[in-house]
Amino acid sequence: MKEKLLLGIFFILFSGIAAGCGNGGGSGNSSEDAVELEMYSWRTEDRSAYEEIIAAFEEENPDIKIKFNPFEATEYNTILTNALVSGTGPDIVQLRPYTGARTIADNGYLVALDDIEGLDNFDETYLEAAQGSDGNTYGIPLSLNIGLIYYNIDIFNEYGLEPPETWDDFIAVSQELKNNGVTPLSVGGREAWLLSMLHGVITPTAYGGNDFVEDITEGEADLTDPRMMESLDRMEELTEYIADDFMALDDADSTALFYTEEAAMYVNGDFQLEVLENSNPDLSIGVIPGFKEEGSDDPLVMNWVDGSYGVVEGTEHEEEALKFMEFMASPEFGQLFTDNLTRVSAVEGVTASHDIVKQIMEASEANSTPYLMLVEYGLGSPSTKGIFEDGLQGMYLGEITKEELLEQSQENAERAAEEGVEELEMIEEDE
Amino acid sequence: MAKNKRKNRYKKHLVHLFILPAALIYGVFQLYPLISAALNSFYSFNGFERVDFIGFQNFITLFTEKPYKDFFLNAFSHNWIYFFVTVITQLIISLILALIIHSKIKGKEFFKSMFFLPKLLSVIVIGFLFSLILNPTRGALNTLLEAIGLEAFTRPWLGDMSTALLSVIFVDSWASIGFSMLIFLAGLQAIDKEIFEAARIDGANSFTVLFKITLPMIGPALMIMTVLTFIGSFETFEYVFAMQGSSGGPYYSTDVLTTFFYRLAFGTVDGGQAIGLGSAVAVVLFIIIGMATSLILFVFKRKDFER
Amino acid sequence: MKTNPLLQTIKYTVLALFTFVFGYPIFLMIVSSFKENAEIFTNPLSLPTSFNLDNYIEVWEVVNFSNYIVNSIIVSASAVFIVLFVSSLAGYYLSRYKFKWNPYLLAFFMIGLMLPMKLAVIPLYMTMLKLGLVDTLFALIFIYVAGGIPFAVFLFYGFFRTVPRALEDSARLDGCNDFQVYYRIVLPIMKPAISIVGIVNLINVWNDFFYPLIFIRTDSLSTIPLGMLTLFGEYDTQWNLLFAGLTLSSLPMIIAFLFASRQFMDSLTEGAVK
Repeated sequence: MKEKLLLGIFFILFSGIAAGCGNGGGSGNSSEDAVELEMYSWRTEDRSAYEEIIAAFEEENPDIKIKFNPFEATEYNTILTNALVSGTGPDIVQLRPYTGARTIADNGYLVALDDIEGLDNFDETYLEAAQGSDGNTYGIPLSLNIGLIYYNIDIFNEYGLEPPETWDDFIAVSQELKNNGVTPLSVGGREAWLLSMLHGVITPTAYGGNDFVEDITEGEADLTDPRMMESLDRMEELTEYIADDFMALDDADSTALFYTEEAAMYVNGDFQLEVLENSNPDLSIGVIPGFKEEGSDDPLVMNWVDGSYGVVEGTEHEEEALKFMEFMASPEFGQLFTDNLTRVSAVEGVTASHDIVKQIMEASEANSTPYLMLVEYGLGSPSTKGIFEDGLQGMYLGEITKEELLEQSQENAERAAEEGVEELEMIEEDE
Repeated sequence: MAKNKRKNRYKKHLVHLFILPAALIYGVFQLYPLISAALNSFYSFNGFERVDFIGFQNFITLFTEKPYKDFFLNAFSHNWIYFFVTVITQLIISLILALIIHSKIKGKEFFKSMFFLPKLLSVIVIGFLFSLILNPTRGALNTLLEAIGLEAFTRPWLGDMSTALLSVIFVDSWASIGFSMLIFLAGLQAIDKEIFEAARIDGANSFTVLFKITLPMIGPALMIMTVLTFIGSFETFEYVFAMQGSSGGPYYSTDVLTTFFYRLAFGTVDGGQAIGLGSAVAVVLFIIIGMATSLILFVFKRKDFER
Repeated sequence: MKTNPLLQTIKYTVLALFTFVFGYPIFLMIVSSFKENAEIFTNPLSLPTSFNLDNYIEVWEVVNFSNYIVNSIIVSASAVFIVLFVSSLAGYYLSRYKFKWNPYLLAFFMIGLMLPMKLAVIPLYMTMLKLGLVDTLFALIFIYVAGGIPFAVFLFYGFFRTVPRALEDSARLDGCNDFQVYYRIVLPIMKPAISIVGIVNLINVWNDFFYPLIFIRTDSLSTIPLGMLTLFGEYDTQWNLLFAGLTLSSLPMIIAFLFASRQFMDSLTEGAVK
């Protein structure tokens, strides 16, 4: 009797779900004359700018409508995975750079874009941000993000300081500011990713820039390398010049310290420029795109592709979606993007009208280095980047030593690499 | 008795419609997902798709492999701290407040409303409000401490290993005291007034009444509230998540089992998901909370029996 | 009766202290919402120099607030009503009919009381996907109803056991059928249980941000807490707007409470004793 009852209940439960299955999946978009494409993004803050750009596209292609649908950045991965797995989702999706895009591409959810016209508008290395393990390109890179040191021109003028060009200059300037009772640098240590960013902006000239990155990619060096230790020494040296209690400041707090002119310098991405300008229109902002290596005339600028857009495999409107991809790869789009969002487009040959954006763009074209942690260590659950930046918090709070930090990070990198291999094997078994 | 019922003239099977809607909704949207979540812990995953049945491998990884075992132990110990501190900051304080309000004082209704007020705010509002209040430089708390000459007590509350978890617990308690106070008040009001009268006539003073009569009488309520606090401390998620993010910063000092679960099951901005491992954490939590609930049921049973 | 003056003083001191502790943050939130951003930074504790509604007007313009309120009301009202309806029926069934399987049904509901539902959110999501309910208010309503049922069923079950059967039996003799008995006799006497279940669920549902975060994607379907989350993301350096948003989002509940705080708390205390 009892068993029968339980069986009955389960029967009811599962039949309910099964009945739901039938109705749920099939309802396709009832398209009229115009095809509507749905586009997912994590840039909620850019909605109006995107809508303007899309309007420009729709004007040229009246038979295609694009619905821009942005989600909270923190939930985006979950939402995207769900949509892809269930196959009910969007036609065009924004892809997390590097490992994020690669994982999705390797699972066969994306259309290869190698034949798209205009792909040669991009630097080879930018395309790597959205390539699968098979070497095909699956996403059109959108923006180039650049890590920067912002500085307050008025404060620098007041004390007769020049923007530092090297690490030694930077320390000298900071010391001078500190002597005058000005907080040299504002960093939001409560948000660990900002510490990774800080590391990426401040230390490439400590770990030897692109040579070290190359050694890492070729497996000739790992995170326990002495050069890495030098970069941490630099991070530690920095401590006395960062705002008091910076481990209790979040992104917004540290931004506020800078635009209220309490701190003279501030490390963040170029994407904060608009926020700074909107928050305090009177602020005189200057940027230091990076430090110069010995014997080099150009500062070493840390940049990375922020996100790219790809087309979902199996969409009903692949042709139309590809058309939009072509548009995104065009200089016209790049220009619109740069003008509307004061960001650096990944398309080559775009000129910025904003002076600072122009300066950043030129500097990054002259001499750049990848965001080591994001590009090489974004893999795994937890990712090595996560372990590293949380570990930086631990280092600043005196919980772990620099040696421990590097050891833990390297350990996790090895584990994550294995995890990746297992996943690939599983996918191959599936097929 | 039951037999008489069955013989009644109404169509007896129609009565099952009483239980059906509740069982159905609850079964589909709660029980089935819970069971499915538990089963997930025995599978390996590729994104959201189950790949292979791997037995207890996820549990073994969780308890033996770095960095998972360190994360687990760290979070687990924080849940215990959460529990012990909450007993003091929430249970004991709310009991004291209930006792005071239950005694002879004016303005009972005002105080009750005042203490209950925070419960009406959303966690997201409370978390954010307190992030602003606890801000080291511009926050109201440190400013207030400075204004009344207690500079020595100012802290970077949410950015310090030693105060971050405590701050989160205080905020949680701030919001929840009103509710537990009402539960205690309910228990106090249920005690027969004549017992107090009799005690007073016998010349017992307030303290004797408190320790010899009141506390023993609400003993079962206290016990149940303690177990509920235990469950709450192991399920706690919202306040940590809203104030310190999913990695329980700084440097995992506020990490609890649910945020650890969240990171594994949902991934972080640049890390992948590990649903199988996350589900293993969930199952461990199920077991811990299940044991605590059995305890509460045991207490209930005994209380019924005594009646 | 005599009261010890010293003891009374201590009591009032404690009460005053806690009134400050509980009231001040809320007071601060409301006061700061009238200030300008710079004023909050320079004088976080002082009263605003002028009372103007600029912040509110700005927040109201950038955020779809009226929309959020409507969604929150739809979701909360439906969820609370359905929980009350189905759980009271179930509680009645479990306490009044002695079917063999009732203990198992109780255990079935007990599981939900024990286990934190948040941990099951991934399978829940997949279920909603299959049912085509993701990004609809129905998803939220079903989740809140399902989440509210175990507690409600137990409370109603316990409540019915304390209510004498005689009334119902006499109604049956008068020719009422089961539903009539339930509707005419039972419902009216269980007001305390209804209010405690209703209030507890209302507070939870109204303030929840976790499920909307995961299940709602369209801005026009957001509830108040989710809408606030978007506001925090977009205006994270403008504290004046944030405080206005926080106040605005808390206002509906606080107003409702001011009007009915007595009933609110009395029903909670009464209901809990049963």
